[in-house]
Amino acid sequence: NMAGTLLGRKPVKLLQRFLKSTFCHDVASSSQLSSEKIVIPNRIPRSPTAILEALASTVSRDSSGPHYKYHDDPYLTPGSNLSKRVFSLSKEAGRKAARWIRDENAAFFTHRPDDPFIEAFFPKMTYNEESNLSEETLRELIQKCSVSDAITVYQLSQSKGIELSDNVYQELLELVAYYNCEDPLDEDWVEERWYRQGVTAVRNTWKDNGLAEELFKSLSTKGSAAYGALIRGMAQYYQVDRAWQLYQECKEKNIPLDAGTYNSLIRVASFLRDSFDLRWQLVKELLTSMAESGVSPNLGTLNCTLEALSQVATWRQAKQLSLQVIAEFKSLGIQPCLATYYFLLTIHCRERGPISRILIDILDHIEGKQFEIEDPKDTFFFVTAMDVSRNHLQSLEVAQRVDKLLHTGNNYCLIGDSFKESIYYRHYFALACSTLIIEDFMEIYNDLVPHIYTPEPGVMEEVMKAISTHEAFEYLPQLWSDMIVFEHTSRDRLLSLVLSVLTKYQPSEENKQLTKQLATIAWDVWTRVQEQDETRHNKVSWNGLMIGDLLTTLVQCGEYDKSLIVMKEATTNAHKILGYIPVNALQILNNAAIEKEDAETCVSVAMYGLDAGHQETGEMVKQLQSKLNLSLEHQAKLSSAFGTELLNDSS
Amino acid sequence: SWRACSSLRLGHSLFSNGLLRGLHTTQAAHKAQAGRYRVTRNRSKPLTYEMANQPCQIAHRKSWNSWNTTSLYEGLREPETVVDDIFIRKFMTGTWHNLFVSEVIIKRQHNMIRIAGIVQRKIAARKMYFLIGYCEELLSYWLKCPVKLELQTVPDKKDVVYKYI
Repeated sequence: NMAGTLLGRKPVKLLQRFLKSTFCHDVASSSQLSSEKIVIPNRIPRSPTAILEALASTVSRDSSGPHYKYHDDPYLTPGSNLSKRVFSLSKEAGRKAARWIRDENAAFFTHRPDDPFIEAFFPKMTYNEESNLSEETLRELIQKCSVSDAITVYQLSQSKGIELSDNVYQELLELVAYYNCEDPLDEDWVEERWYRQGVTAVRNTWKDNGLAEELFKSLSTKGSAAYGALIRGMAQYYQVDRAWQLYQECKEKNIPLDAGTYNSLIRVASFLRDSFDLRWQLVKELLTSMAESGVSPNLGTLNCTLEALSQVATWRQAKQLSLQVIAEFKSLGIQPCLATYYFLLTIHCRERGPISRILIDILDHIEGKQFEIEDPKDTFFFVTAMDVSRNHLQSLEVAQRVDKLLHTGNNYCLIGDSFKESIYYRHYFALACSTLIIEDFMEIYNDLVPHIYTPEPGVMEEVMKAISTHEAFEYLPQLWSDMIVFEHTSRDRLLSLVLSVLTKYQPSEENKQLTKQLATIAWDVWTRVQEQDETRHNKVSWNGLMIGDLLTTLVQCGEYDKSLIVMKEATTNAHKILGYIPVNALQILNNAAIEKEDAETCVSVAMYGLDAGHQETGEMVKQLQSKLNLSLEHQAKLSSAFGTELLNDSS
Repeated sequence: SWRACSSLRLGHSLFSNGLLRGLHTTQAAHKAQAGRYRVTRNRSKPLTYEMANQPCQIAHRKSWNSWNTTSLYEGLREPETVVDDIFIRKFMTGTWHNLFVSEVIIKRQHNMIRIAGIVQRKIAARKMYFLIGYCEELLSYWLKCPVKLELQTVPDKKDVVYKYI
C-alpha cells in the first residue's frame, strides 16, 4: 500500500545515516550495522474495533457469575433454566414494546440531534400512497433485506406505474425467493433467535403462485440468474417437484446454471426419488451434469452431497461413498468445514451399527484450529460430536478434546443456540458423571453449574445415582440446595431418589454436622411437599416408599420427634399416600420407639403394619411386649387387633 | 447581620385586618431552606443518606446526581443536557411506579448514558427485566445514544433509611 512503502523508504535511510554517525568510531560494529538490512513491514490494515477485539480475546467466560446479559443484582440473577429463559425473553419483550411505541408514534421521534445520523434510533419508514417512491428506495430496501417493505414498495410502484429496470426485478426476485415472501426474524432480537429452536418441519412451505413466480413471469428475459434464483428458493422451501420441472426446462433450453443452484437440487434429491440407489444415482447425475456444464463445485457442493448421503445413511454403501466424496473434493482443493464433519458423523456414527472412530480422526485434523461460519449446518457439529463421544464412543477423553476445541478462539460462537448448548453440556455432564470418580466430577460440577449449565431433572437423577453408588453423602447438602434453586423440588421421581439415597447414610460420631444437614434435607422434603399449593395441577403426592425412606432417615439421624409427626400424618391421612410404608422402615421406627420407651408409637406402628398386611408385624408386637410394659389400654388394643393367642404366646 | 435587613410596615390599620404589606429597604435575606427537612415531633420522618445531608455538604459528604462534562471549558450542550436529565428522571420514576427509593443518578460517559438507582423488590424479577429492556430501548430512541441501566434492588425501602428525624 502506497502509504506504507513511501514512508518505508525514508526512515530506513535516516536510520542508517544515524547509525553510521553514532557508531562511526566503532568500525567493526558500524560495518556490521550498515550491512544489515532493516526491513520495515507493511502496515496491517486494522478495523475500527481491532483494539477492542484484541482486549476481548484476553478475557474468557467467567464461570463464577451469571452471563453478562443478566443484570448484576442478586434478585435479578437467574437460578433455574426456566428463569434464565424468562429473564432474557422478558427483557427483549421490553425492547420490542419500546420499538412498537416508537414506530406507532413516529411523529414524536423525528428529531435528529445526532451527527452522523444513526438510522437504528430513527423510526421505521412506512410506505404508502403518498410516499415518494423510486427505484432507489426499492434497491435500498432490498439491500437491507426488509422483505415486506420491498414488496409493498414494489406493489405501490406497480400501481403508480413507475418504471423499474430488469436489474431491480432480478434483485427483488432473488430476495423474495430466498425469504419466501416473508420477513425473517429481525437481527436485533438476539434473545429470541438464541432461544428459538431451529427445527423447521420438512414440508412444502413454498408459496405457490406467489410473488416470486409472478416476478419470474413478468421478466422479459428469463436468464440463468432468474431460473437459478427461483429453483434455489423452491428447493429451499421443499417445493421439489416444481424445482425439478424448472431444472428440466433449463436443460431443454440450454440455460446454464451456477453451482449454488446445482447444490440446492442435490440437497433435495432424497425427496425426488424413493429408493436409496436411485437417490444416489440422481445425485451423481446432477454432479456429472454440473461437470459437463463446466461449473466448478464449491464447499456447498461437498456439504449438499454429504447431506444427501446422510438422508440415506442406513444404506450399506453410504459410509464408503462419503469417504470417497471427501477425498475427491480434497483433490479439487476444497477443504471440509464443520458442517462436512457434522454430516460425516451422522453417516458413520449410527445408533445401530459398528463403532466408528471417525470423530477421533476428525479431531486430529482440526484440533486447535479456529473456525468461522461457512455453512448454516456448522452449528450442528459440536452438539453431534459431544453426542457421539457420550453415546457412541463413551469416552471422556474425546469429549474433553471436543470441549477444548469449542473453547479455542472464537469457536464458542458456533455452538448455535441455547437448545444446542444445553444438549451439548447435558451430554458432557452425563458422560463425566458416569466416567469420573465423584470428587473429579464435583469439580466439573462446581465449574459449570449453575451459570454455564443448569442440569435438567433427568441429569440430576444421574448425579444422585452416582452419589448413591459412591456413597459420597457430603455433597448432598450442596446438591439439595442447588435443586431448590433450579426448581426441581416438584419432581416426584427426583424427590423419591433423594430420599432413598439418604437412607443409605449411616451416621457416626465424626460427622455430626453432616448428620444434622442430612436430617434437615429430609425434613425440608417433608415440609415442601406438605406445604404445596392444593390447586397445583402436577402436585407431588407421597407414596409408601418415600414415607418409609423419610422415616428411616429421620430415625437414623436422630430426629425421633419429627419422625413421629410424619408417622402421625401417615396414619391419619393414609388415603393420601399411595401404597404402604415398607416393613423395614416400620421396624426401624419400632426399634427406636422401644428404645425411647414410647409405647404409644409402637402400638400405632403395629396397627399400621397390620393394616398394611405386613407379615412381620407379629414379630414386632412380640418384641414390643418383651421389652416394654404395656398399659391396659395398649394391651386391649393389641389383643383386639391381633388376637389373644399372639399376646399370650410371647410370655 | 440583623441590621442588613430592615423592613417597614405600612399602615397599622391594615395590619389589624390580618393583611401585611411589607417593604424591604435592603436585600431580602431569607433563611436557607433548600433540601432541608423539618424535624418532626416524634422523629418519624425517614431520611436517606442523601436527604439527610444538606446541599452545603455537596462535595464534602455528598456527590452530584448528574455527571457530565457540560460545565467544563468547551463543554457543549449544557442546557440541552439539563433538560434531558429532567426528562430522564421523570421517565424513570414514572415508569417504575413507586419503586425508586433513591435519586436517579445519570452519568454520561463517551457516547453512553448510564442511569443508576436503587429499586424496591416489589415486582417479580421478570417484570423488572421487561422494564429494564423497555427503558433502555426507549430512552436510547429518544436521546439518540446508547443508554444503560445499572439498578440495584433492595428488599425493603427501610433498607435505605439513614436516620429518622
